[in-house]
Amino acid sequence: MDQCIGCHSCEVACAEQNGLSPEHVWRRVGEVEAGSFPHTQKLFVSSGCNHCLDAACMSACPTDSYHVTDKGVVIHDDESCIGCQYCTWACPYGVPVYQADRGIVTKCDMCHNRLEAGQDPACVQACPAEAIKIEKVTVGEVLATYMEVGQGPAMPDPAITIPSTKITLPVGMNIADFKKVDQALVHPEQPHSPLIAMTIFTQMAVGGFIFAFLFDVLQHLTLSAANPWGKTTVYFSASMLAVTLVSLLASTLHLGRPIYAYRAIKCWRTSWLSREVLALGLFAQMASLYVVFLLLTDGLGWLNSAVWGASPLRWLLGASTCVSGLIGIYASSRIYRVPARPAWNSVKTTWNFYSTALILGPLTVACALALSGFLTQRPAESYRVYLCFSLASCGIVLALKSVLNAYTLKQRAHSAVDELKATAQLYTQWFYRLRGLRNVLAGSTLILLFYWLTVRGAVTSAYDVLFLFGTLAVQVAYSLITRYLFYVTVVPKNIPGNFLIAAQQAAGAPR
Amino acid sequence: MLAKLKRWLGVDNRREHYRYDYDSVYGYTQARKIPQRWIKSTCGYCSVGCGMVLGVKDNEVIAVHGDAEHPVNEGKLCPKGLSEHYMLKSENRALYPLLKNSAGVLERVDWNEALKTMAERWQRIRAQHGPESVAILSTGQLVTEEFYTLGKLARLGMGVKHFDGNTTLCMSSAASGYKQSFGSDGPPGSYQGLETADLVFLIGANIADNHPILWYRLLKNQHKKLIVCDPRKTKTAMFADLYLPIRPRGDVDLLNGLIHLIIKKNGVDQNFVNAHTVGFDQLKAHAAAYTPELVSKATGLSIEAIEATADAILQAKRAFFAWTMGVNQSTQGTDTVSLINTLALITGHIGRTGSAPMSITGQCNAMGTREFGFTASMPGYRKYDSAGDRQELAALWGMDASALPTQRGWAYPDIIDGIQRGDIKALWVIGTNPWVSFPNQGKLREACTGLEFLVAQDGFHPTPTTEMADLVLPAAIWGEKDGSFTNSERRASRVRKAVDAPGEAKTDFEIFMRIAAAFNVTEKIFPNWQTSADAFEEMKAVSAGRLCDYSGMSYEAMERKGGIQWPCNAEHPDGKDSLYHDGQFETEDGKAKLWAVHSEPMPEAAEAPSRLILNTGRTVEHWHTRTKTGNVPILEKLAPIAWVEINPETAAFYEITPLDHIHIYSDRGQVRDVQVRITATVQPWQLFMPFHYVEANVNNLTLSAFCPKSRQPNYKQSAVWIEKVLRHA
Repeated sequence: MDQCIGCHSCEVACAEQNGLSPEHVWRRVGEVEAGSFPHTQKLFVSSGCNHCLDAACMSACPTDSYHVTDKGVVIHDDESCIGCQYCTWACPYGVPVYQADRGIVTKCDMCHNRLEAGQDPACVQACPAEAIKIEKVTVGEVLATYMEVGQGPAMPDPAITIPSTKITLPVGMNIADFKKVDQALVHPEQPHSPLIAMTIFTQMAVGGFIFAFLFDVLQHLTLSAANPWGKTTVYFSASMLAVTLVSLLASTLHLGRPIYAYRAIKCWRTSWLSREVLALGLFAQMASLYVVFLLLTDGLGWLNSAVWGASPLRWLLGASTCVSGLIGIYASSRIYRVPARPAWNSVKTTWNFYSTALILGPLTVACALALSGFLTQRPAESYRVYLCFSLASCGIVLALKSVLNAYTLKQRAHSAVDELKATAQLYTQWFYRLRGLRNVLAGSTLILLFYWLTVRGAVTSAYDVLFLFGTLAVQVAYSLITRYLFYVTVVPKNIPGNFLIAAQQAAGAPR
Repeated sequence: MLAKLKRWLGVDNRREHYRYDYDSVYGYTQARKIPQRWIKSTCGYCSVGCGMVLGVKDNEVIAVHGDAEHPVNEGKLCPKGLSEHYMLKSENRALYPLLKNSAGVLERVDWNEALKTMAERWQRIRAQHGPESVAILSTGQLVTEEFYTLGKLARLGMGVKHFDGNTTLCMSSAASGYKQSFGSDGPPGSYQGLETADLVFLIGANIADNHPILWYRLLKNQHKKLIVCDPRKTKTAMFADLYLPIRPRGDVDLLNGLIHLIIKKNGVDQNFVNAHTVGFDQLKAHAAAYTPELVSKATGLSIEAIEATADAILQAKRAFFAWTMGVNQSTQGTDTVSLINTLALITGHIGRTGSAPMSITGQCNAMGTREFGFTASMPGYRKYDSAGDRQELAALWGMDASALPTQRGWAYPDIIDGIQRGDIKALWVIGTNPWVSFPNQGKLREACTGLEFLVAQDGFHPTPTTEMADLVLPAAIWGEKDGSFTNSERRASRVRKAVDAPGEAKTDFEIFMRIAAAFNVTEKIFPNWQTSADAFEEMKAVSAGRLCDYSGMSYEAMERKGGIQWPCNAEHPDGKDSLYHDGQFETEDGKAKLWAVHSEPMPEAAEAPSRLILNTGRTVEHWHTRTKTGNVPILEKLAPIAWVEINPETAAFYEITPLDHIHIYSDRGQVRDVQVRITATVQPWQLFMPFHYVEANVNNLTLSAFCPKSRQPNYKQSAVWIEKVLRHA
């Protein structure tokens, strides 16, 4: 860093060496600045992979595509990669890049094949300022020094991944004075639409199963007669299963190589993505068994409902579905809790995911109850308590969520963490309108729920059913927008950027 | 279809396309970057003159690398050089001759028709309006052989009186300043000086950005003291041992102040001055007034900094003074150059490796056109007004001396004035893009509406200039033709053809030869010429015995040695590292002239805070008007948009925040909606803007003020005012 002149030769040479298009470069040169004229200090940081000892990419990867060579080079295996991009979220330096044209992630490999043939890596070879050097170090040396030499101005904390890169700073400079030149130029991240759909709808399904199961148990405990709701539970559970299967299938569209989605379970020991796939897979299986069971008993009556209707098997299957679903949501949320993405790296993410289940789940159940009640002309009183309980739960969680969201945003706007501040900036500036719409939707839902609970209170006409389905639609829209904002407003940790590239990206900001 | 499906499903991850393999020269690399053969050449962007190897496969340059054996760059290249092959394939290459039809639309024609039209209309205008009604604007981008050919064609074949090049925009002050001091153009030093000097004093030169490979050479120097004088804290200034944050146009005062201190501190090399210079007494009297106090006031520099600079010069055994556009692009450019020469002369820092006043040039072959271009001087650094020089040239060419011009004719800005007055009716523009690069675009655009015939010969189309043209002649560019380039240190390096030009584009040499045929002058000026190598042979003869002596050169030796620094002759077969080692200058009495100059105010006053001083310049990612680099994807990605740099203090005054855009106005024109870049690398109340971007053309703002001697524009200081672009919700 004390030698770099910011000429970008390394960047171009790297792209040429590895045949990369400009969007997918492995090495980038960023800038930081401090001081006032004429004591201005401007430094450049040329960064490829830092070949970390505790590589976040590697522990994130669900397909075991990252390896460390005997020389300590972290390399990526292009063949086994399925393009889930989880590593690109996990790396605090923004090193792995998703190459859309290949459907996989690729990254700097220190030109280890050139090194082994006795040639310099392309960046080293190209640098006219001799600012990049490859040195042999031992693990012990890195561990002893990384907290000092791994820290650069406006660079991510080396404690996150223990980088093996040594940053040489000019003598006498104060790191804290420096700011990234692209600090104020924030821009949104990718929305990952398949993931928005997958997370929202699996969470809805889990919430739905939980409430349906809960009610199933309750009515069996409280009513002596055989299932007074007819086939509602069967149909509802089957619909939730369909939602789950479709959204899980849709989530593979997020992958660069959907056909190899099955590989994602490989690293369940280390990767939360593998764990999520396993847990949600288990959830889908348990839900399927549960639905089949319900079909055979309540639905088709092939199994004697007197014998099987309230059997332990029913409770076991139902409970297993709910528990695996809850574990699935937890695993989902843990994927996002990476230090490289401060806005995600919080228990709030887990709360967000569970709260979605606790809002959409009961609301869906309420709609189902209302619909079936109306269609079968069932006495409104027979399910009124369940209905009101569902809607009230939904309303309470939503109100809580809205308050927490507002509080978090305020907190982040004054955060000492630049990335969190930038996230708040995206919410309040770039996505000003969408955030407003989201808040309107939340407010409307609460008003609608309050109105229905206080004024109507029971299903007496088709209007009530329509009203509740309308509320569900509003709430689904709210959840989709909230999740969209969750994805796009995260500001990842990264090396300092290139001002002009950032300015161009930030130019899309609504004026 | 199946392939697409396979890609979409992920069965295919384009493994084969991204395969690596082993190249016998470069080593392990992408398989598709491994060529059938490597061809040695020289980079076609800037004047550093880096050696390159071009990897060719199936008539396409698929890879380039720095030539590890070349003495200039030892295998290093800047990002432009590293991606130079993309330029050849860029979408905006000129492929076919185009002629404007009656509807005013450019239409494809064949070469015969294009050249016939060219000759007919040119000659008709000349016949109608006289010999002064036609003019040529050339470039610093062609090979020297082509410059020589064009010079002969223009001056002797077509009888063009007004012939100049875009080199007037970038280094004519250096050439004029050298002539004033030493009696001839020709940079006395070499890059070796960067490695060996104990003081490197850069004035208005940001080599880390604009000549990164010179930075590489400078870094090899472990014992140097680096002083950088620049109004901006540039990338180069960041690394200076002493940075002089000078007020714009404070350079003349600073130089006078340094001369004052050196005389006062008995630092003058009196023996050298007495033996080899004239004018010391006048200089001494002149410099007496420039006390550090006065200079400090005039330049904004501290007295300590001025004293420290003078002391560094006094202590240096080898002092290397280098400058670029910060000095040249000024209404006092020529005199400032002469003043730097004077500083070097009185301290005896000339004629030795590491001791030189060194102009770092801009374009890849600006030097070539200076040597043989027939614009500011006659080929071989000969003077128009010297009967002896004319006689000598005429004899070499076997013609009567009366056929040679006695005056250089109008320089670039005077040609534009001539067009505006209606004196010039036909203009042939070769390899340059005035409609972006010339100062005060409004004036140029208005002036050129009066042109009857505009011919644009270029490797690229459309450019703002070719779009204006009545006739477009598509030319081959670097990589598609043979010849040589001369770099800033007088090193003539070999340039080689690697691939054929696209479409029907022809080399500029071939175009000139065909125009000569159309004008029926081939026998007269190009007897028995077939290829550009014939021009080279004649150049050797024409330069024999001159300062820029090529007589000992051959293409083979140039390639083998990585270029040769002229003079190269029987006495110096390997060329020379430094000029004037014997203290013999090219003046009539053999003595260098010491120059005494007072500073003049900037052409346009700027009173802060309502008026700001606008500075312009280059950046590492782009080349000039972006006709070349604007279509190189990685460079365009790195610097995709124009910007203007503004100091945080000034930004705060105007309530400008980092995301803002501003409009900039001057008395000449405006630039709208430019991204600001708030940075303390510029001084308060000053702006800096790159000149690469036609979509935000800083030359709408720059002024029509020129050095009276070199005719170089004063690009670096214009008075402007700004307005924040208001955002509408």
